[in-house]
Amino acid sequence: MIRHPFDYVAPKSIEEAVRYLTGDTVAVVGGGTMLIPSMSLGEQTPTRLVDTRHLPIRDVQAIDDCLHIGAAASYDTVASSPEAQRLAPLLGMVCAGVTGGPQLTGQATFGGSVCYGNPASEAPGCLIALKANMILQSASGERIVQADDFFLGPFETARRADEMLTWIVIPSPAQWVRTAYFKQKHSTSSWPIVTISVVVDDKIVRLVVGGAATRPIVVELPLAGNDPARLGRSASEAVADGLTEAWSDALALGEYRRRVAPGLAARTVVRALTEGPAS
Amino acid sequence: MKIELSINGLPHNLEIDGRELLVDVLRNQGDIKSARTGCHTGDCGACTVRVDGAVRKSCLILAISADGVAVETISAPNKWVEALQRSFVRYGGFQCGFCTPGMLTVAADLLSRNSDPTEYTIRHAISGNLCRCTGYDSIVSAITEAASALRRQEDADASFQAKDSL
Repeated sequence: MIRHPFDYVAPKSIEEAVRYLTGDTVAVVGGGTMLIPSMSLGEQTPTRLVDTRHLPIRDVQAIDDCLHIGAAASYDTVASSPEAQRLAPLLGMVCAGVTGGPQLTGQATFGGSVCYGNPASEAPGCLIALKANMILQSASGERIVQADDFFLGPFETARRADEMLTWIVIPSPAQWVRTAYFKQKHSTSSWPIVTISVVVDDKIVRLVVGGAATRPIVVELPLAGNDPARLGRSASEAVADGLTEAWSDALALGEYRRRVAPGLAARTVVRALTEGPAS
Repeated sequence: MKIELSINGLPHNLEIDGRELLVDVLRNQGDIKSARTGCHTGDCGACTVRVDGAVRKSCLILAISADGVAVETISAPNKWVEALQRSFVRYGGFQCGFCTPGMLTVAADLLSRNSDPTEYTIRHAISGNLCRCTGYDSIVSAITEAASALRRQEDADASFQAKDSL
């Protein structure tokens, strides 16, 4: 049982929900798979919980070929969505690697992971690769923040205390013809140490390295010539250059991430160009 | 505060503290002892039950958030759980038994949707449940055998009904 007292509300609409976001001691609950245990351990002590269980942000929709992912949609919902498979196969690759068993993938949410902002997580890297837009609602209206600008640092996002994430919108990705994803981890069930998301269209290779640094590293390379190995090497150099503030936590020290990230980036770029699924 | 939920088909109106987890309420007021707390972090899966038809770790759910849900545990009659219990005994799928209700719950859920799972699929289904005793192989064997036994029973039932309709 959790020790500290808190208010609990389960609003039936977004309009109602945002009125409860009165300060930074209010926590919005997606699946609760990170928040509830941290409250059980006394690590986080919000004064109010706003439960999203009744809010209409739990599904995945395709609107004009843009993918709209509800902030409270579970990993299973995203993984089993035919629209997501068609429009953004990278998301399915990420969902397939989420650990904790079916109990967890049916309860935990992309939106919750986004707002938590743990560098050692998968949502930031893949959403930046897909150029996702975060739709934030507050009592004063809607604000849209691009994924590139959303993840400010470890456990720090651009979401204001009076805002909640409602939708993650991926713009028409008909351009990304090849995709690859890699998650470096200790074992099958460990959290990610480094994540590499690669998307390729007819002009560029776009790759995002998550987990290695305090902020995800974005690299774009022109798709010149038909030499995957050379592009891999360029990617590796660009990642090494961008890895100025390596992230350390209980899974791995920054030095380890600095050593492995460039090589993993190269390998994943090569895989995307030679094997990655064409959508 | 008050919540209403059903446990194995029986409605319960409960007075709870808003800080309680679903597992606390199931154990203390629902008289369900098969759900255990092994970690409180959502890693071990010993608290696994079915919530509205899906397997969930009940230490990750506030009781107040479970208002209106239907909880099922291994105490409810369930042909998949029963087949698994027989095969777990036969194959040594448990030693101390602490993880066992959670294992039975996720395995029964798998077999109710997939009557012939591969080893990989079985291992993925139990990947949210930790066992400190068996090393998992006997659990995987037991689940494989239960699936096979259930398929034989299905075939036998189907052939019996076919004869009956002649």
